[in-house]
Amino acid sequence: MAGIMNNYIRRIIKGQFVVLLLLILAASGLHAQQITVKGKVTDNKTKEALPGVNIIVKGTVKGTSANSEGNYSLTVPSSADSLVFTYIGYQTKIVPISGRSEINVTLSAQVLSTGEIVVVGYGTQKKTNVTGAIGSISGDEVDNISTSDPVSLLQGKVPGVRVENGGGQPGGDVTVVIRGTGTFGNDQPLYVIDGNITNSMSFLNPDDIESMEVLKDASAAAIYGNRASNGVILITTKKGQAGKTKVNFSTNIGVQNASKTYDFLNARQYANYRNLANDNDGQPRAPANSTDFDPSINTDWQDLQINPAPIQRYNLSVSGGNDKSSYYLSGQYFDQEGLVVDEEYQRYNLRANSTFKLGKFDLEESLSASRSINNPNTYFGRERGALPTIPVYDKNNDGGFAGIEPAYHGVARGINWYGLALLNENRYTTDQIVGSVNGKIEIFDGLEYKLNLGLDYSVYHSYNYTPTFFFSTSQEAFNDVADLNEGETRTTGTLIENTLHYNKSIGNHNIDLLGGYTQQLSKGRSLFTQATDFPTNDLRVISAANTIVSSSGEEQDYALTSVLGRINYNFKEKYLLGATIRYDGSSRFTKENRWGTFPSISAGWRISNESFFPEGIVNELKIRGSYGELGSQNVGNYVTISGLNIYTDYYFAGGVQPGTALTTLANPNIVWETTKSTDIGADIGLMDDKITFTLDYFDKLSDGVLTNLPIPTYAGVGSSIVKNAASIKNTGFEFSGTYHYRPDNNGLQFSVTANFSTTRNNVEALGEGVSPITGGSFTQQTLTATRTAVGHPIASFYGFVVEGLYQNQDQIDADGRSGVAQLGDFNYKDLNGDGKINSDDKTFIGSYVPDFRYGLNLNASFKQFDMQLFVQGVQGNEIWNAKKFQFILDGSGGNKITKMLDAWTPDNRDTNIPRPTIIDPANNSRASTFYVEDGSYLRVKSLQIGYTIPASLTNMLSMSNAKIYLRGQNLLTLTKYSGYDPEIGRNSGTKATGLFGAGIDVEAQPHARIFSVGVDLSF
Amino acid sequence: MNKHKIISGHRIVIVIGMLSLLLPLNNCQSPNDTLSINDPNRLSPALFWKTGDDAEKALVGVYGPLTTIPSWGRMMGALLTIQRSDIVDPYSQDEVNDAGTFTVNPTNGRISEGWGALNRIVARANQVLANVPDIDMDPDRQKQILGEAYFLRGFAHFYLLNMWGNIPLITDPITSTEELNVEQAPQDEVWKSIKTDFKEAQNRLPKTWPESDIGRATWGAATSMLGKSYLYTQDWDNAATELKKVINSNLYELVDDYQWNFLASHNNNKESIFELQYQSSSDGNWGASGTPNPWRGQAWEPDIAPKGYTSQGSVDVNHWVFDLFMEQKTNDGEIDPRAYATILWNYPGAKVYQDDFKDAFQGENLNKIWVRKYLNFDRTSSLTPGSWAYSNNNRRMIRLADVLLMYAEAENEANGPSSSVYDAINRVRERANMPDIAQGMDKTSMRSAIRDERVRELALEGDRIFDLKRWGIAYDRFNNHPEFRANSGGTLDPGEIYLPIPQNDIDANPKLNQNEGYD
Repeated sequence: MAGIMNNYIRRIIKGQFVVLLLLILAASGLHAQQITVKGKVTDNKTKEALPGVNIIVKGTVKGTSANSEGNYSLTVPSSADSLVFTYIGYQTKIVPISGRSEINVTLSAQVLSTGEIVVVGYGTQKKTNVTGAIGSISGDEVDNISTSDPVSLLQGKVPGVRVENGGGQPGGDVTVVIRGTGTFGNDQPLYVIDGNITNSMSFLNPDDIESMEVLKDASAAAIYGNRASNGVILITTKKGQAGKTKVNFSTNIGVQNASKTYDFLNARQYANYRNLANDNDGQPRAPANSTDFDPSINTDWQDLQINPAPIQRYNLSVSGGNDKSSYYLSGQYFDQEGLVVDEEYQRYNLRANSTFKLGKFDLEESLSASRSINNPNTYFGRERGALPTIPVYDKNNDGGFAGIEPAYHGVARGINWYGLALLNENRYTTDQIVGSVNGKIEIFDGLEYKLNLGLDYSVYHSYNYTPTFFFSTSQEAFNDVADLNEGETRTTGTLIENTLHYNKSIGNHNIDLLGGYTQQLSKGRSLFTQATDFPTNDLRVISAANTIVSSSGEEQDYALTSVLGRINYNFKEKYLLGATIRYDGSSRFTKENRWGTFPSISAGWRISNESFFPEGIVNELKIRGSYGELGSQNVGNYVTISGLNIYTDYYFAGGVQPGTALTTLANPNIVWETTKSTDIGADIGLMDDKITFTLDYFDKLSDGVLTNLPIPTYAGVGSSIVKNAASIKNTGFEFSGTYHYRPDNNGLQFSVTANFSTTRNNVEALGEGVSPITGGSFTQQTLTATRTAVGHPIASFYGFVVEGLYQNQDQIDADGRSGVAQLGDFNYKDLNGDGKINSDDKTFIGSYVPDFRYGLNLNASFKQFDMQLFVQGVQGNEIWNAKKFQFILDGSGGNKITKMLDAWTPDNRDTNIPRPTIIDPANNSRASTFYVEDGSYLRVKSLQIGYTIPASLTNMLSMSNAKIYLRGQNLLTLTKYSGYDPEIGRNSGTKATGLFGAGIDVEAQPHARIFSVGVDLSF
Repeated sequence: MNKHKIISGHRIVIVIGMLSLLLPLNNCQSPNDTLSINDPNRLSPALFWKTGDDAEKALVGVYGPLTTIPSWGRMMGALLTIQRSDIVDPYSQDEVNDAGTFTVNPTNGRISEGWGALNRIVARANQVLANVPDIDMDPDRQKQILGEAYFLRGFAHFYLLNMWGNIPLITDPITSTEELNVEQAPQDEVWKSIKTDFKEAQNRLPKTWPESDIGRATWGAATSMLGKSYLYTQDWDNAATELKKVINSNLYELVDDYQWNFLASHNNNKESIFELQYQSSSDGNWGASGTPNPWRGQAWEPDIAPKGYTSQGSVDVNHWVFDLFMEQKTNDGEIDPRAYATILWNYPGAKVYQDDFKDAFQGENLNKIWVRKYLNFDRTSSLTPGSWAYSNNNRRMIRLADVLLMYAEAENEANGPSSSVYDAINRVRERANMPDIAQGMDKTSMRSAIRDERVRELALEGDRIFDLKRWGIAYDRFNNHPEFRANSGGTLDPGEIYLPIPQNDIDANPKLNQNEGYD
């Protein structure tokens, strides 16, 4: 295969050489007094010919345009100096003739984000005039990752933006945190897609993305008021361009492999471990591990559950337009199977974007329809998994899988999760239509009125069927009656935005004013039914069930009304000023607390535009600063309203009687959280922007943070209440820099972009009388890992300090633990030296917040070849490896890893693995430094090598462009972390969920190393 | 000039036209109306507490937590039955048996679930007691409702106090966060409140209920609990007086067969004074009262079932209990029938569920003593799937035999071994065909006889740890008998006689002190 490929490439190169030779021969035959200059104009990226490019001799009106093959020929006077190449949508290029008769030129497309203009809230702005902190990337820049959620394309690309995949699960949640977590609630950013405000971009087709802008500071984000404190991500999707109809087909097909797996004990090793543990505990050995050990059984459950899996993507788009209208239509199918068995994520996308121009009217429409189907394996990695000493299958059991016999195998619980995952059927489907239509009219010169109507309609359907099965009598290892949980939530969000925009330059004064009135409504209704007892496992619809256990439904509504305004002013594009204000009302708060004002101001000085600024290497120097206030209304819809609980029935001898009680306490006094954000930054360009830098320092203080504060359960009104209590500070430094090497010839071109950012997170206050928040419950028996306390980052790891293992009785006595601990148990540090080990000896032992994070992108092209390399990493964070509980310390079940072979015994004292014990009287599994590991990593996230087939060949196939590429993803990860992968995101199951469980590896799935091949064809 | 004006006018018309178009789109309501969204999913408390029906529903809400999983549905049932007594010896199982093996932590889920369930009863009773008096309704029913609420509050406080020792005493509804952080109350104050509640209940409750309402608190239940409270506080005279009222009321009789007290087929029999009503349901949720469709069955059976018949850690019965049963024979020279109904051992013909005992166990397990009381042997298989929910074998919280023995104890302590003491204890023994106890005992030997009889009659019904505590012998019992915890090796520290206050509450309320022995 490789040989054929090589031959093919060689032939193509040979062909190209012949073409080149012919061109040179043709050129040498020319002679004249006036020179005739010939050449071809192509796109610098796609290498596609550009028909219709205007070429004029500089300083004259003499010119021509390129023909349909992009070729031109122009007679120029010998005195002519340069040629000017202009083309709509491309950057103008001036090329010196220097006596040449053939000048082939490549033009670069004017991409919104990398070019002059950046998208900002409710508009666009010249990049050079921006005074806020905005991270901007184009869709092309991130087109080197295969992923189920397009937001993960932002990973490592924008400094100050933390993107983490929740393990390797396809369709798994991706965590995005901009400039640190400043809340205890939802810390995820707001998404604005083509002007439509949404909570997620996971439904998008990544190939449709034209650009993404991350609004990081107050001056950029405050226009989004009480939803902006976590930052805002603006996404602009592609539009058609005037010219010939373009058809593009691309596909990417790959195979995924686990980048890392655990080494588990085999059956014999497991039995030995278990016997030793039983001996240590003075308990009898289990028959399966001793007298009845069956050497023919040796099941590798991990190997069964993790397998290579395909990933594929097919994309087709058609676009085009003229000077009156444009269109862009696309469709995509994406399918990623999980490395973990019985796991798949599929997405279907359709998009229709169009623009129309009708005199003074402008109409724009953006419409996306999508369906995603997610089938996660929610059983992978659970506690108390099956043992190597049981077989996989047992024909006699309902469902066909084997299970443990508690007494025989010597564990109370242990479930064949592999079998259960295969038997259980689950599917989560989201159908979503997101669209916006906006019309603009120019009222008079400079004043424009715009009406934007947005719709976000989604139907989420959940389906979960557990058939009857029997593995064993162990808890959860059997199901007598099949059950079906099925539900649907339909949400309709509407957005109406009226804005007036005035833009005028009077002399050197440039004024840009924006005012608006907006309203957003969201209504969601859900239905959920739980039904059981089916006549057969083959009938899997609610109607077939004999019992409807419960049927429930609810409504979730909210409304937001806002008035907004912005003024941008600059003098000679040298002194820049900006101010925004948003006045927001939210239905989530009571009438008295509903309205809030969120202002921001910013200023910039383009020193490089001053006359005193020396000409030289520095072509652009801007310093800027901003201050503003942002809000967060991330609380539930009805938390300020107390309601009665109608689920308090009691069964008397004559049947159930209905009960009603007040079971929660509402807090009507809560208001939005406020984040005061300060940013100082600089934008620098060197050597005509060959090198660009952006530097930012920020300081964000979030006050009145809404906190689910624990309340004493003895009050009988729940265990927590929401209150504006805490104060959190985030500070940090961000850097990004790019170097472009783009000579005019077709030789080597490359660009390197590097970014680096730090974030320091600190809880400044928790509120009066508020105790530190305990979180991150990482085991079924609710051991907790984190503590959120004043003077420490949110969700800092908290526990005992392991000094080693007890090697002699004196150490045990010194800790006052005789009779409890034994030799080989953990020796915890007596921090307060009181001769006891108790909760006073717990301390802060790490944090998930890294010292810094970084990313490096290298794009290079040489003739027909191009290469993209993307490296990304974090440094100085810790991970709470909760897997060490399951795989080392948990005596109640599950196999152990081979580290257990090195467990403490009187003959093996030089180790950090405690003695095997089931009953664990010394409580070795308590939260301690044993779980804490260095989470730093450096990852070669993506390496892609592409080859663009020469135009001569593609033209014969009536293609305008054809490219093939090979891509490797997650190729290499350098880390000391011992788990599957150091990128764990946040847990989505039942343990250590949310931000108080950040950095805890409970059930994170291994990441995939993906090798894929892609084809990109344009017609 | 003129032309320009016309165009300007034209523009203004367009602007006005566009703006007027927006009005309907933007809703004719004022912004504040748009933003005033009520919770469509829940009833506002402002609309409640209006009618007799509301009062009934609120009262049912007070009963609600009694039988859910966190409460006597499972956690409380298991805690009281098997754990922290010298009768059973639990095998180690993290979380599940920790309270029984004396390795329990303040973060233990079972502890906080039981604590939460009991406190929910208190909180909801407080709501009823505060709001129902103002409702315009049938005064007779109103009185009963208050009586039931008083009973349930006293009942919950009784268990909270005896299990946790140092508890906050809350007798008014909590309506704001400011009222949350209270201090723990002195034990005598809690006892005072408990007794007052039972007295208030006693004055308001009927002697019986119609068939369909069986399970509600009665005069007999309130009087028994009042007597029990006096007994626990060594107020012997009052204890004897109240308990005597129950005995003399002739509302209750000992059932013919001792074992009927632990069989679903004899739920709500004439011996039972207060009984939790379990619901047999094939489906439900593992939730507290307040979650939709929670299970309300006898779900603690897996916690007491013998090894091999449960997926839980299991317990066995300490040998001294067996020995105590074997000390005395019936009038016919047989083994006390209560032994067969209470424990399981390897006797000829012994069964465990449907299996022969001798086949069901191997090795040392053959020689162990296992729990029998409350196991549902009538199942077709052993511990079948769904055992969390199926069994509706009601838990008898107070039955006449207990009242008789409590009376005997109180009367003996107050007035020595009078004939009424003999009558009471012998009445209990007669039902089991056991000979009367020896005449002519002094107070001390009678005390000892009553204590032994309580084990024979009431073992595994949940009061043993309370008895040991109030007799002041708990610490001594465990300290001198490591064999009581041979399965786990756990030891009881002096302070650990009470369960730990749940960590959540310690964290949430800095005014709370953790019980001694936990840190």
